[in-house]
Amino acid sequence: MLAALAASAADAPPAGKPVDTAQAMRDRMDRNVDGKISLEEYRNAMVRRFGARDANDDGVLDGAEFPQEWLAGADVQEATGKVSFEQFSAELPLVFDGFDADHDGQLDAAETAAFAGARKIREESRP
Amino acid sequence: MNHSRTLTMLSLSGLLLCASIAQASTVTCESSNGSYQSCPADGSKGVRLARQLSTQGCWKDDTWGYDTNRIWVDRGCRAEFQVGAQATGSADKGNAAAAAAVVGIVAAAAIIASSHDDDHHRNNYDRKYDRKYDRKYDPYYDRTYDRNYGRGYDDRYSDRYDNRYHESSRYGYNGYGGDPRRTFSCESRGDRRSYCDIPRRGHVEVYKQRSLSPCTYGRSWGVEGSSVWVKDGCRAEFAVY
Repeated sequence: MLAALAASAADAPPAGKPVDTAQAMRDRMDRNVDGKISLEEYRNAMVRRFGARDANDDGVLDGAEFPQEWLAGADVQEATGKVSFEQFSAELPLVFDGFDADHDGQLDAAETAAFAGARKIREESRP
Repeated sequence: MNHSRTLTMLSLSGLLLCASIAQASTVTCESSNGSYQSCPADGSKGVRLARQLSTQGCWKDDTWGYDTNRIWVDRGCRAEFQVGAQATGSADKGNAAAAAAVVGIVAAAAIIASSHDDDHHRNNYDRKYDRKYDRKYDPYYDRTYDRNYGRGYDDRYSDRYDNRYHESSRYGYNGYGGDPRRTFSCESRGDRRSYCDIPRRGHVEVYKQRSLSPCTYGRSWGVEGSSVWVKDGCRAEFAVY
């Protein structure tokens, strides 16, 4: 619980420093340093991120682990407020394919940028 | 009469079930305690990693692979594999909340990374973490660990979803968004092994492969006690989780 609170406090952007999400994705995920993110690179990083986010280690993101603002602009009727590891891992390839515009199994610079900007766009599309 | 018809229908549905399994089946294969494991499977028509169950890495031809009669996993990789005929077009319609979590985690992790991205912060973090770690967690860790293995680099304690050891939670500090606690480089010269010290306890994986020659676990890189070795041109940055 304390760890979960610490995590959400750490989510606050540092003052005056723009966050380059696309660059952060490449830094973290691009294992073979080819400038692109493969499904395998993305899957490994994302499974780790789920594990790190799941502060109480119960295999479900809920409460402070899953900020409800993430649902902004998403097509969710009733906010369930939780996502299981099973749901998360089933969704990983679907989200990847959604941003892999040319379907070559890799996110290039433009596709990574679209992924990185997705949350912002969703929030802005909020009714 | 009725009875026998029921039986016939039962055995028919059993046959149908078998037929669909033969077309494409799922095999779960698990490297427990970070050791090599092979699982019987018909790999002649291909194998696809369908779902990764371990936070420890599953990298094809490095920590998992297959041949005509087995799937193998190593270094803590645990996953469900789809064997044989490829499913064409997922029937899965998707889950909007899960999709929002995927996109949300990427954005949140980037923010965390940017707040830790200079050395000053990273060093501060490490000091803080090490202090906490040494005082609180080490006694138990060393006791259990040394009794069983004698060395300080057991994979059991650093995975979240493999075996659900309670101990693992202690290592799940989530301020780093699943980023490595430390990285270090190791470069091979020629075909002899070069050794590099692992700077802290934890599970080690290839983080960035900098060489054209592949870094393949057990073949061109490996872990021996508190060192990583590399050879055959493998040059990489390694991550400690």
